Amino acid sequence: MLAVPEMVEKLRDRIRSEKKSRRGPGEAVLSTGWPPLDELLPGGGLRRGTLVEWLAAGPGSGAAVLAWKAAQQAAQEGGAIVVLDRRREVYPPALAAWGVDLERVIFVQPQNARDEGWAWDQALRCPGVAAVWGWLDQADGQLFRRWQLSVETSGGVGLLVRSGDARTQPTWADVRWWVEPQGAATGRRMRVELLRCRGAGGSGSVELVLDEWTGQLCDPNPKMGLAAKIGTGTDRPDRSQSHCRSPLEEEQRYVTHPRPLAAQLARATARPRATGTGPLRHRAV
Amino acid sequence: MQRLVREQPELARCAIVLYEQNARYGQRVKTCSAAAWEQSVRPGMPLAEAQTLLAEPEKAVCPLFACHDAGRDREALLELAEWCEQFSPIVGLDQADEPDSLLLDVSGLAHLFGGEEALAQTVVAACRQQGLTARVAIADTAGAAWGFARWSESSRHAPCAARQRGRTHRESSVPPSPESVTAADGTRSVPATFVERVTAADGTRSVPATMVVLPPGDATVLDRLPVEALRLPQRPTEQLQRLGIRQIGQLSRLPRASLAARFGELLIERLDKLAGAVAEPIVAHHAREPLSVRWCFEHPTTHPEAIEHVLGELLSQLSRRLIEQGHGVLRLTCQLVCPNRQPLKIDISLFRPTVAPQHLLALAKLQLALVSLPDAVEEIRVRALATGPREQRQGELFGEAPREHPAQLALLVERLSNRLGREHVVRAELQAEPQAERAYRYRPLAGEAATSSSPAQPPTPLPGPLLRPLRLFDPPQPIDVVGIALDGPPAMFHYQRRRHRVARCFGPERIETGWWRGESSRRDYYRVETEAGSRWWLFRRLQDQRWFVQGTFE
Repeated sequence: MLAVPEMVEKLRDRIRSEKKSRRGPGEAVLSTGWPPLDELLPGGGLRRGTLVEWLAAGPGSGAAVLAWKAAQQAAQEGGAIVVLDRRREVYPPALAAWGVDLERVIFVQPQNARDEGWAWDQALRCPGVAAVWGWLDQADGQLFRRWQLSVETSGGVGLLVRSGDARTQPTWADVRWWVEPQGAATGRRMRVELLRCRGAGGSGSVELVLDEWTGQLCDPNPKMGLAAKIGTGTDRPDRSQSHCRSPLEEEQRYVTHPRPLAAQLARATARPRATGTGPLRHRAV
Repeated sequence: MQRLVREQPELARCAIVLYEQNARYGQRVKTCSAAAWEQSVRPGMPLAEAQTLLAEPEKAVCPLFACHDAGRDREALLELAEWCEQFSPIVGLDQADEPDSLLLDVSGLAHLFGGEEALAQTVVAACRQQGLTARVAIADTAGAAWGFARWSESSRHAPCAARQRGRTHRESSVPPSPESVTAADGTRSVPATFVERVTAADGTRSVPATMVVLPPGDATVLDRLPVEALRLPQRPTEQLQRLGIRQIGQLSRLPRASLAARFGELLIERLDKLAGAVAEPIVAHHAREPLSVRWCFEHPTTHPEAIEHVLGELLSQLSRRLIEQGHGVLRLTCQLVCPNRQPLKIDISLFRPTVAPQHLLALAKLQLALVSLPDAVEEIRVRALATGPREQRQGELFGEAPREHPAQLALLVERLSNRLGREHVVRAELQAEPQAERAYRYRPLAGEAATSSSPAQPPTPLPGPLLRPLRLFDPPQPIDVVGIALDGPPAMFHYQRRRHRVARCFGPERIETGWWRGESSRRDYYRVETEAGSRWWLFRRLQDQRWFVQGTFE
C-alpha cells in the first residue's frame, strides 16, 4: 500500500505521460519568436496544430505585434501566412517591416461574421498554410471547436488576436496570452501573462521591452544605464546593435527638428548603412 | 475616351481629362475631350493645372479625371476589330505600342459595297450608329491610308491640327491591300487601302468624321502629307520640323543615304512603306472562338440534383475542349436561365488554370448553396471568360519543402475567392508612396494570369517595425486634442468618448506629398504612448491644424 503523497505523485506522472502521448512524441515545437515567452511554455514553445489566443488589454497594446512575430516564425519552414482582416484595417507595410515577404501572405477580407468563421475554418484546414493570423471579435464555442479540429488536421498554427473582453469566455485555444501595455521610460514595454496553457495548468508572466527602432528585445531591467541587448537576433543582424537610447533624448531631438520625410530618405541613402537603424537616425549628428 | 463615353453615355457632354502617370513628370494630361479643350486644357500639361482650369465654378462643366488605361483601350479596339470584320476578312491593329487604329484589307471588296466611296460611307455610318466617330481613308498602302486618315486636307479644316492630336484614342482602321499594290503587273484593279479613324465620341462638337478615298496609283498626293503622317517616334519628327521639313514631298527630294544617317533607318523604311516599295502586311486579328457550352432542358426543372448533374456534364465538355488547346480556365461564368427572369449568374475565378471538372463543379456548388433559384431552370450556359496555358507539373523526386503545398494552397485561394469574392482574397504590394494610406495596394489572387510581374523589393527602405502601426484607419478619424504649445505635440486626446493622456510622444515626423500630384497632403505624425501604455499614431493636418488618429500600434 502506497502512501497517499506517493500515490498522488504516481497518478500525476501517469497523467503527464498520457498527455504527452496524445500530443505525439517527437513533435517539433515552434518558437513564438520571443524567448521569454517560450520559457513560460512547457516544451519551450508552441505546438503545431493548435490555436493560440492573444488577448489585448486595450487598443494599441502590442498583442498583434507579438502574434505576428510568431506567425513569421511558423512560416520559416515554408508555407503561407493567411491574414484574416474583416475590418480591412491591417496595414501591410507594417507587416512587411518585420521582414516578411508579402508574396507569401494572403489577405482575406470577409464581409460578414458568417463568412469570417468559414474563412478561418478553411484557412486553418489547409496544409499549405503555416499560420493564420487575424483579429477576432466574437466566436461561438461550436465554431471554435471546429477550428481547433481543423488546425489539428493541417498542422498549422492559428493566432487569434482578441480584445480583453474574451478573457472571461471559454476557449478551445491551447494557449492564451494576456498582453497589457506598460508605461515605460525606455522602449516599448508590455507585460505578457500566460493565462492558460493546455497540459501545464499554466501561469506566470513576463515583462518584455522592445527596442523603439529595431523591434528587438531589450533587457527589461538595464543594469548599467545602457540597456544591453538580449534579442533574438535571428533577422536583421545589422540592425541589432543595441540602440536603447533614452526616449527623452530622442523626443527632444525630433520635437525640435521637424523635417520632411522625403528629405530624410534622400539623405539616408547617402549614409553608410551600418551606422544607423532607421531613416531618422542621422538627426543625431 | 470613346470607350468611356460608350460605357457611360451621360458623360458625352462632360469635360473628360485622361491623364497618365509619368515617372519623371508626375501626372500629365494625355488627352482631353472637346469640352475640356474649350477650357484650354491641353495634352502634356500637369494634371493639377488642368484641374485648376476646370475647377472654376462659373464654367458649368462637370469635369471627369480618369487615368489613361492603355490595356482597356486595347481591349476596346480589339472588340471593334472583331466588329469590323463585317467589312473585310482581314482586320488588324496598327503595329504601335499603343495601337489606336484599325487596318482593313479591302482589296477586291469595294464592288460589294458599290465602290470605294460607298464603302467608306458605309463604314462611317455604321460607326456612327455605334456611337463612334470614324475617320476613314482608302489608299494604296497601309502607311498612306494611316496618314490620310489622320492628316488629310479635310481634317486640317477642323479647328486646329493640334486639337485632333489631343483627341483620345483614335481608332482607325487601315486595310490596305498591299498584295494588289506590290503585284505591280499593271492589272491592279482595286485601289485598295482604307483607313478608318475614330475620334472623339460626341460627334456633334468634335472633329467631324472624315472620309478620304485616294485614286489608285497617284503618288503625288502623298507629297502633301505632313511628316507626322510617317508614324515616326516623337524625336525624329521634331528634328525634321526644326529643320523646316514639314511635308513628305520635301523629304523625298533629299538624298536617302544622308536621311538614314541622320534620322535612322526607320524613316527610310516608313517612306518605302508609304510609297508601296516595301510591302506592309496587315497582321490580322481574329477573335478566339468563345469557349461556351449550353444545355437546354426539355422541361424547366427545379431539381438541384438535375441542375448539378447537367452543370457537371457541361463543365467536363468545356474541360475536354480546353485540354485540346492545352489551356486551363481562369475565370468562367455559368448562367442558369429561367423563363421571364434575369438569368442567375455564377462566376468562378481560379488561382491557376484548371481543367478538372470536379473541382470546378465543387466551386460552383459552393455558390449555388448560397443562392436560391428564382424559378425553374430551362437552360444552363457555361462560358470560359479567361483562360491561360496550363503548367505541366512533374512529381518531384525528393518531395518538396516540408510545409509547402502549392496545390493545396491554390485550392484554398480558389475556395475563398469564390465564396467571398475575388476582390476580397488578395495579396498586398508595397508602393513607393510616402503617404501612409497609399503605401500599399491590394491585388486579387484568383482569376489573374500569373504573368503579372511583381516588384519584389519595396522601392523605399522600410521604416523600423515599430514605427508604423499594424492597424490603420483609412480614412483617418478626426479627434480632439489638447496640446500645450499650439504647434507642439499632443498632451491629451479624446477618441471614441474616452480620454487618453499622453505620457510620451515621438515626433513629429513630417510626411507630405508633392503639390504636383494633385491633392496634396501635409501632415506631422506623432507616435504617442498614453499613460496606460497603449500606442497611437496621430497626426496634425498642417493645412488646418486639425488632429486625426491614423492607426494604433496593436
